[in-house]
Amino acid sequence: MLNVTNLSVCYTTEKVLKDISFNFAGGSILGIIGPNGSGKSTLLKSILGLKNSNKGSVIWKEISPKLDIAYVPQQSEYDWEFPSSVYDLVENALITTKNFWRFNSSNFRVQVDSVLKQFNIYDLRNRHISMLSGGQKQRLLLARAFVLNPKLLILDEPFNAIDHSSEQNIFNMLKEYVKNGGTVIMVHHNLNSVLDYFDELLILNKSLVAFGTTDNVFNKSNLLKAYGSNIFLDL
Amino acid sequence: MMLFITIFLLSFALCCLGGVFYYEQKSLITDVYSHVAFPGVVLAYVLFNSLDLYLVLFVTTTFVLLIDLIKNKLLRITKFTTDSIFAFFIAFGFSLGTLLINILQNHGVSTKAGFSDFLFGNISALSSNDSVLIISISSFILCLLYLYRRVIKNYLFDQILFSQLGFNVYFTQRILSVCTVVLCVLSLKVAGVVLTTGLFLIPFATANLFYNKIKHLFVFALLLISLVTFASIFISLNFSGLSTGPILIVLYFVVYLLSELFKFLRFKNIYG
Amino acid sequence: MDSYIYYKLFFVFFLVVINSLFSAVWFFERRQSLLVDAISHSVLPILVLVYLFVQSLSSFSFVFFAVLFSTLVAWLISFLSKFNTKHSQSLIGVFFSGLFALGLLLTNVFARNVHLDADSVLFGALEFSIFENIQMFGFLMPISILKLFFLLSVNVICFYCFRNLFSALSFDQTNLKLHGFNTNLIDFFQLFLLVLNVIFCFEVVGVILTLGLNVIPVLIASYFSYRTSDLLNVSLFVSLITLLIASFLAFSFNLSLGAIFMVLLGVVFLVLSFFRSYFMKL
Repeated sequence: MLNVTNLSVCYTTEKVLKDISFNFAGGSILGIIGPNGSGKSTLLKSILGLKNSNKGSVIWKEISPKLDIAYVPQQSEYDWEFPSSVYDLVENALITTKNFWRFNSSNFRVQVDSVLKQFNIYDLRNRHISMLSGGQKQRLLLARAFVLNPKLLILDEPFNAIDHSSEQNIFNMLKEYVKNGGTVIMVHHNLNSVLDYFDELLILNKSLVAFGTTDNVFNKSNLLKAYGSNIFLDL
Repeated sequence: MMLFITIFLLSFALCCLGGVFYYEQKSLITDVYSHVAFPGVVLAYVLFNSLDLYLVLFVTTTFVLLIDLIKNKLLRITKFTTDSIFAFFIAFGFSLGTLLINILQNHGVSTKAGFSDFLFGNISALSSNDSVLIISISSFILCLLYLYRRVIKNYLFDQILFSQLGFNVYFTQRILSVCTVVLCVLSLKVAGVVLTTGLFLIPFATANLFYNKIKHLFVFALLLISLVTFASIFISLNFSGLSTGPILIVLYFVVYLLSELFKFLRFKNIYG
Repeated sequence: MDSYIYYKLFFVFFLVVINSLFSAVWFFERRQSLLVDAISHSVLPILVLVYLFVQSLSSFSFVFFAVLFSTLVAWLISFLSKFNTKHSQSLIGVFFSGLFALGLLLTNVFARNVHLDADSVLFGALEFSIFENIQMFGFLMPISILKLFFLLSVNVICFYCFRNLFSALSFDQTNLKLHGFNTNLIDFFQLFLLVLNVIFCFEVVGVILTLGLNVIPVLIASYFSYRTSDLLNVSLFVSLITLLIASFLAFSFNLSLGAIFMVLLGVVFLVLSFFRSYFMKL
């Protein structure tokens, strides 16, 4: 599905990503972990074409980056005082280059309603987005992504500022999505849940530390390489 | 010489306070104050039948500080951004001033020339008393800012820690507001209602493009202000029909644009 | 004396208000209310320079070049703000004061005898907007009304065609870009529409009232609704009621219509804000 070769990204003179190469087949949940400033969000944006790379290539196979991918940035990147209801925001996600000038709401009502029910936010459809809890906001962002029926879901720290039960609910939905043929790439911070969540893992610290199945890659030596000596984990 | 010292000291004091609001990310509060000062000036005339700078300073400062309290209350009780609230007060304040002038004109009061001095600035209308007032207040505020520079730095960086150290955040905010409003009213006669913001913001914004250490920043600002003040007085004395206020702002703006261009060419990658 | 003069003044002002509401909603969604301030102040030097080139204040080419260059300035400010979001207010302040000062100097030097002096820029020229007339269906119709009707039709068409697209651009540019939209082009087009509104309106009501018209009605409307179409409808309703009261007071007591309208709107907003906060505490 995704072939990244020698990808390098610089900001002024500082290299944020150095010679990243990996081949991801898809059909599973890939986690991206690394310390702060290791280039996780930059990697996501580079593979989506939102950030220009200085070197290297990103090749998508059997998937169109414009039609088949849904990207959910961090919650903090959005303005939650934006004048919109939950329903309007999910419906707005259906705008494409083919329908934007004759966007007719009634055509999409069924699609939007079913996604809202899937994420248990149908009762909140008329509520202003500022009046949602952290978990509800994350479910709203996921609903916006799912309404497009994507083949690939890319998430940037979806469990930030979310309580444990909301996190479990969201993860179960993602697991269901992968079971039905989808693929998920996710940036994650909490090392304690890595083994439970991810089938494959990419460990990053400006350069690629390790890539492969979680069982093979998530070990003390790779974590030491990525995070340095001050990591306390019982593996 | 008196004119140079007046404008120089005033501009430097404005620049220092502009820096404070720059770091508070509320630069356009200065625009709010200058536009709200306009009805304050009219009010001073209504109360005392005079546009003497001492009287205008007293009445307008009181009026603007009252409006400032209302503005702060609005920011607390509504969810609107500071942008929207500032825009509201800029429009409301100026409209109120226009309406008050209308009412005065309907009552046969002809004050066009007097109010125009405050609306568009008129340095030639500055008397020696006005200059003395501006010099003394600017010097006092500069001394105050210098003496309390470390306190202000703490306040700007982390207000929570600032209050935990025993300082009163509200009191500090009020002192800074009073200093800004006073200087704002004084600068109305130099640059006018609309352009006063430029005196607050542009010198500091230009210096900030070159330096990020406070000492170097203010030395650069000092040099820039003295050069531009000298140039603008020279130009307005030698070319009739060109008032000093707009020339000051235009010269600052040209220097700013050149500095921004220099930074862009040097750090093209940032703009990616 | 034309017995319909008050009706014409009212109608011109009403058209200005309606047109401003369209751009007000977009500025509100973009969270860039002060960009109106920047655009309306920055327009002055551009108008003077375009006038020097075109030598007419009412020709199509004057309006075209004025809108084009103002859009470029607005886009430049918006572009620079993206790299310095925390200090965007400072950037706006620098640009609008610098360009307005430049405009004042240029006016003094090149355009003293033209209706581009600082007074008419700041306060507008509502009273003069009805003097240039054209014969239509047996009536003497002010050209400004025709211009504002044209602007209104552009606003209505763009609102109903691009409303969702502009909302998506304000909320989530990243995903819009992913789906193949050229967000820079959409941003530029939206800024173009906003600048078009600002220029047409500021000719009539001046710089500061343009800011007020593009901010206050939508702030009031946002207390009653948060959907884009509702914001427009509610702000139109509030503006119409306020305009009727303001017109009565302005024409009865010989006051500036724009100033009294803005003051009344401001009072409504303040009363609503404090009233609402008091009832929410209860």
